[in-house]
Amino acid sequence: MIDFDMIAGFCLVVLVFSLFLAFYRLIVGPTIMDRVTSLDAIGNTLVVVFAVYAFSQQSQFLIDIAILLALVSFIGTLALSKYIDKGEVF
Amino acid sequence: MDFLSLLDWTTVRIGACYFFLLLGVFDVLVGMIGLIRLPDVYNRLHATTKIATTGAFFVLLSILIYDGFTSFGLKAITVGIFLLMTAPVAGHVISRAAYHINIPPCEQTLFDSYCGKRQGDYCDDFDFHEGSYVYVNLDKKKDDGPLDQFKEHFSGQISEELSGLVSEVSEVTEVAKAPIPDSKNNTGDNEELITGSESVEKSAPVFEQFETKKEDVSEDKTVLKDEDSGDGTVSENGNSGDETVSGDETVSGDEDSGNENLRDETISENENSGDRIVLEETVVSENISKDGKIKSE
Repeated sequence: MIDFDMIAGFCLVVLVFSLFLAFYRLIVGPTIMDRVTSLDAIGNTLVVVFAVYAFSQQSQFLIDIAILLALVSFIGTLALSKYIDKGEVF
Repeated sequence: MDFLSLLDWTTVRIGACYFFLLLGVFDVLVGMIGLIRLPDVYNRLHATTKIATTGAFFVLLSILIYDGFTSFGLKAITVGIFLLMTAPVAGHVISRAAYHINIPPCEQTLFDSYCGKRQGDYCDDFDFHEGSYVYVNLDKKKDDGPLDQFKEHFSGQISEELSGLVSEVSEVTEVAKAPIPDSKNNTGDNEELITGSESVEKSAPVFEQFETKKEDVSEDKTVLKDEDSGDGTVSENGNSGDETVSGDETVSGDEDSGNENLRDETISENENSGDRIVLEETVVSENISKDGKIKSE
């Protein structure tokens, strides 16, 4: 019988595998915007990882880390892109 | 009614929770595969924004479905809505920065809509394929239906008229140029009308390669190859040009596939007009010989 822990474990394995795919693009990527794209994807995937782990552990406090990661990932992507575009962040 | 009574509300809830959880994780995996496989920054962004908008949102929605409106579920859906709003913004900012630092699109790109230019005019500040611009003729794309009938009609007429002619090359070119009324789309139309009997019948949009700032006029053979490489991708509609039976391929030979350096060499249109006639001669003669109506003598 498939229980909840099996599904959560399977989801975590798939997410970590997809993180490795993103790290491949982060290292190999030919242009710098590929790397920024890969960092954005890694940030969003870490949000999903923390959400699934908090779901499997049923703890509210792990999902605060997901909120924090979503904010930091978005602002970091914005700052990197504007810095690469215009040479300054603000 | 027995079937509905079997379905408990908690069973439906947990089933929907698992469904959205697995769907979200599947979307994350598909987005990462797209990040690996796709050829371009812009295509990769198209894949990776789905990680946030569908993947993360479905996972966090499954938490809301499982727990209901508790503090845990409300925190989860807050993160989900936040990602749903901010991920497209991040994607647009990344692609805008990639465009502004002149990262070129992949080779299969047809039309640059952020540049917003049609056929004939090009951006000065954007270096497309190291200097050659490829655009779709938009006027041609609108008139898909009547243009097909036009092509079928005139291709049949050309072959009938040519069946009475001798194979003098100059006369052949004059007749082939005669029944084409549309003179403003001068470059792409003639070849498609003539070779329309043999090539693929669906009217693909016509791309053309325009000249750049450095004007290096090369020899006639390189001109022919350059035009042929454009037409092979047109008539095949995305596939590689090896499968077409049209006469363009036999003119250019095997060499046009490997030469990417030829895209750099530039031709202005006025000088191009002298070379078009040579191309049409060869194309028409190929048509006649394949139909077998005229023994070339």
